[in-house]
Amino acid sequence: MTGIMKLCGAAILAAAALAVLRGVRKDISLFIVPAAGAVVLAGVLPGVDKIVSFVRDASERVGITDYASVLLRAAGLAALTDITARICRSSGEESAASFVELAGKIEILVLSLPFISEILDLSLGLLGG
Amino acid sequence: MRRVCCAAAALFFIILSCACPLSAVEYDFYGGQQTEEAGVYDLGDVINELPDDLKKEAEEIGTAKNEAEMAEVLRDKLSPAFWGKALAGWLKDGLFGSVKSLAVITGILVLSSLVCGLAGEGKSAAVSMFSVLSSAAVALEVTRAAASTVEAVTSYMTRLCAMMNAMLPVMNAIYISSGRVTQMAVNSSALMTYITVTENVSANFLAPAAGAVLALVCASAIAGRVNISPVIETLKKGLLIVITFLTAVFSFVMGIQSSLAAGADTLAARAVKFAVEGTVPIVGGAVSEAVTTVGASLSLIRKGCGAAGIVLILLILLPTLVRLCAVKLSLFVCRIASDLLGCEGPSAVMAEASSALSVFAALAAVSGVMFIFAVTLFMNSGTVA
Amino acid sequence: MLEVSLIIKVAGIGLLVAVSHQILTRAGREEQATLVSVAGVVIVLLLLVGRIGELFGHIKEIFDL
Repeated sequence: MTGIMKLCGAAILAAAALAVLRGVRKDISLFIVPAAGAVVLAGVLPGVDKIVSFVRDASERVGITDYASVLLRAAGLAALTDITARICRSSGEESAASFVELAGKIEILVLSLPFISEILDLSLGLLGG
Repeated sequence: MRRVCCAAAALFFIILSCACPLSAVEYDFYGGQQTEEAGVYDLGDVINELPDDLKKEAEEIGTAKNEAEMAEVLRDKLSPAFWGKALAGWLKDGLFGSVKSLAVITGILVLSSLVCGLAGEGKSAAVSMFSVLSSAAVALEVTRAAASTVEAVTSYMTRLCAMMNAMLPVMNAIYISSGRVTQMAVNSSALMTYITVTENVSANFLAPAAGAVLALVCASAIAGRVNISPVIETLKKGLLIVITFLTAVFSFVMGIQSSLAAGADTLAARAVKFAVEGTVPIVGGAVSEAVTTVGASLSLIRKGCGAAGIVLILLILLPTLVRLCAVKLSLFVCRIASDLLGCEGPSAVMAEASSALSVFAALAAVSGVMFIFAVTLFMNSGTVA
Repeated sequence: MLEVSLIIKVAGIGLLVAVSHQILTRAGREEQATLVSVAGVVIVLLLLVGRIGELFGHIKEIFDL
């Protein structure tokens, strides 16, 4: 519980500091948002770790390990891309944000290629056989 | 409607068990001319075509030494207890195989909804790409399950045709021995035509059509934006046309008498209705439709060989139907789960795949029932005096 | 540890740089003012980059990217 309180406190502090610094020094105020983001992320990372390892265990028990590992990696990519794009946008850098999103989309698509190729194999097997 | 089906199914069983006291006197079969051997019918070839699990059952029929024993064996085979046990066994096998797919698909759905839920309401680009990925994963698993099912259906059709090929000489011999040579000629050529058509359809058309439909379903799931469902609808209509064509060929070729003509029309209508009724499979409904249609024709049962043939056909037909229904049921459950979890992509994939599978179920059921019609016609017309 | 102190540090450096920039410009030392502001930015950058790099390393480990 104290972890959450600290994170909330950090966020409020960042918002306040941003408000102050924006009037005074615009360039350094741009760093407050990434800093706040890093702090919050670091705070939730242990929880995320627990969730991910639970999901991996559960998927081993059910038997879907190959699917689960791909989906988890894609989830990590999506989360990372999303957060980075949001940080860029909040600094007013719309184009940087869209570049990051593009990169993320392409990476996730690359991850899904093995699935698609296997579907293709199965269908071709049915068609040809 | 449900109650009518249950009543018809009950009637079916009762008639089967009553049909067993076979009237040996009015039927003169080829026991004299044919062979050395005390076997009542030369079902040896027929039995060889059967898959191994059925051979055991069929050998009991084949080695019956005379009418009385045959009647005994058949009475046991046609009793509700036997069918109940067999049905339970098939259900267990079919469900067991598809439960694994069900678990896999549900696991994928839970994972993806977890991620989508964590990402919040704003549909950011990366998250939408992630849902495309999860649709691809679900599509893959569904394709696997569907592909194995289609293979099962194809092998079923091959087996059925092989068995009918083997039964044809027996039926011809019986016709000959009862003196109806022209009838034998007509019957054998008709049946031969139908068997050839069915073989060709199942070998050259069924699997490729299934492959095409599955590939399109997966493509539409993954591409997301493109609306491929009109194409899939067209493919399904094509399959339905094939089924109707098969029934039309059959009715024409057999020179159906009026009563059976009515039955065949109803059958075609039923097949279409069954294939189109689509996405809500009630396991009992699917099987009971086939059973009701069969039951209508079985009121003519009198003869041992035909009855044995029908038993064998059913033993081949029902496991496949049950398996198809099990797969459809698990797909249905998964669709409910994915709707609950809020993933639209996988829902669409499963809906399309499930309706495609019901078309295949209709095809399998129709061909099995057609053969039963043929055997019934044979028995009906083979009466001496 | 990535704690609230990071934000406080960044905000603090920002304020410091702002104040010293004002004082130096008023005192007529333009170049030093710009030097101070650049130095401030660089320090903040160094602080952040190190921490964020660590963070990304952890994420990479967890998700097996």
